[in-house]
Amino acid sequence: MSEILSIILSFFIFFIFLCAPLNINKSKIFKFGSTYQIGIANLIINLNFLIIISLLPFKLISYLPFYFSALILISIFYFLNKKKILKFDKLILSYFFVLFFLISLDIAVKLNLGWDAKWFWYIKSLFFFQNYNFSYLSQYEFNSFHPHFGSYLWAFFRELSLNKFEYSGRIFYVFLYLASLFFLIDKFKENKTQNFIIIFLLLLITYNYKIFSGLQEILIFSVLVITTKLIFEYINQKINSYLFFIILCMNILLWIKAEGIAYFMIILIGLNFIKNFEFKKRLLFIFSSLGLILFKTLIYKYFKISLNDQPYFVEYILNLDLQTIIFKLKNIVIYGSFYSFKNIIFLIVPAIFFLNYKKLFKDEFNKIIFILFILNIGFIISAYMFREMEIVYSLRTTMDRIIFTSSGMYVFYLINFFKSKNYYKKYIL
Amino acid sequence: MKLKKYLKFKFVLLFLILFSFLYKINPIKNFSEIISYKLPKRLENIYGYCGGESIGYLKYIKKEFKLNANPEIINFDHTPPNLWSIYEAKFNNYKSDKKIILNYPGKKIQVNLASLGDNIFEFKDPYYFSTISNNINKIYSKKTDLKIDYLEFYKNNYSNNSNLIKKSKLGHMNLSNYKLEINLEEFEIEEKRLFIKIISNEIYDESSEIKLELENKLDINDYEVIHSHKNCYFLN
Repeated sequence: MSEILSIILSFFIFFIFLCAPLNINKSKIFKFGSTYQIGIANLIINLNFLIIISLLPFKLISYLPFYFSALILISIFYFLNKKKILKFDKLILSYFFVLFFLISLDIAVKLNLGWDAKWFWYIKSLFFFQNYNFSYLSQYEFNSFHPHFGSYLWAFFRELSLNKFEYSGRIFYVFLYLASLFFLIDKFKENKTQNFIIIFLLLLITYNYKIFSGLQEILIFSVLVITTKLIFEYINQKINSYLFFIILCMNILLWIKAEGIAYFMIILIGLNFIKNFEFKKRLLFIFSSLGLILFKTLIYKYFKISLNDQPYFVEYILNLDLQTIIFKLKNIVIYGSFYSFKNIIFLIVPAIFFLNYKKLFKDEFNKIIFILFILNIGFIISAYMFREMEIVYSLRTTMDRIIFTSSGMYVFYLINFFKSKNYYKKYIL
Repeated sequence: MKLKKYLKFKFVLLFLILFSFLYKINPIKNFSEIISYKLPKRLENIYGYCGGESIGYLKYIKKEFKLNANPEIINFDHTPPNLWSIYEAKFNNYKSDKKIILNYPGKKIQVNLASLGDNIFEFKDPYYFSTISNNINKIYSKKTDLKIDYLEFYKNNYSNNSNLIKKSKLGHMNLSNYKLEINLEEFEIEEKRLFIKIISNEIYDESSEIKLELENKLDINDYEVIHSHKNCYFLN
């Protein structure tokens, strides 16, 4: 029973990260910002704070109570200044809680960690959980494969939990995943049944235990889901805060997995194609993005962590022969198609581009998603083409995860497409 | 009218999707499991005590013995790495003189070869076996008397072309007594696939149940056994 209580309590602990530092009832950060949007903004701010804190030479236990208490105090302050406790939709919040509880229960029972989680992700989280800092982690032999932030979150929320079991930290990934999905339906308030159909359908398509087995793809997926919704809002409203939060999301991507840099670059390049993107803003966007990369590079240099510990070598790329290129390409197409069939989002998106070809370059959001898709495909092909590794083995073990991660970019596009075509009204309602 | 209203398509659809999702995660079973079994028991049910990943045994060793470094773990079942279950960050830079051996098969390791037709067989997981064994000692079958002229070893390259890496002449000799002594490490197999072609007038396939016998790198008699349970050992 204590485990059930711990899961329930964890939800409320995680929820605090939606409630502060910005005032969810009042903040004017987004012009049309709903409470939920501000909640997501808070989550993004907190995650970015945690990235900075995780790099400092302090033990987790020395600052975690202060950080968490500060968030609680700020939330209480907002709460005391307002008659209405929460402007979150109670029904949506209840569904959020129930889904979180059910999925967390599934994780608490299945427990089995993924291969890479056993190999290094979990061990990296143990460094923080056992009160060692980033500097000490940099001495761990498998640290340089990937950044540390997902493992850090695992340790951070495990330390905050009641029973401190291993999975208590991992269920924060569920919270972020659900928060990102609920963020998508935030605007469509008029029909709750429709929203629940969307949420359950997305859960049915994307949820399986494996994505929560300690692997980090779910974090990138969730951040990409949030980012594309922010891109949509930015294109339509041109409010600077959206751009600011897009940059913050890009920063999170950078610190989760090595391939985060690829998604970072895809977004950076893709957004430059936005029409009427003011020159000043564009410049600011490019320089802040490059600044984030520079910051990470300097941190890695300082802690003597290799910047590229993946099997990519210039010599190998330069010596690729035509036969190998054709063989690799053939397999990338075969495995890519196979895993796209398993992840229906990735399969439907090109079909929508095809159906929507007349609007493809007329509608700005359509255009940007199309560009992101092309860049994404380019990334997947080059990731395998230039990797010095046995291709079939490599594709068999990683392609499904890359497809899943990438599909995060198209979830909102898909919902928005069906919504704009009124398919729900025509066929469902 | 009311019934008609509630049977509207959207509700039926919502119900179907909801039902499929609940079927996928099975909350009732999960709830009963979490109530019935505490976490250590659930972990043992999933990972095994001394079998498979043997996390139960590893946790027992960590609890019962004072470890001064993260021990080397050798599992003779090819599973994901399992040091995570007892890892201590404070021992990150320490070298351990202790070993935990899981699922020890004895001095010899038997490996089944998978038939691909035309007397070609695949030796699966060759890299893993190259880490736990020194030599291929024997090729044999309990079903049939093998008559082999040559054994050819191939590994695939990045373009999936197979290259001949070794050819051993056997010339129909009595294979039950003949030691092949083929060193797996010299193949530098890494994540590549390893194939064995039997050159013979006979045809062998899956039904022949051809196996390899490998020589175990590790002999527990060379160590002091601190603790043992079935075929799991804690060695010094």
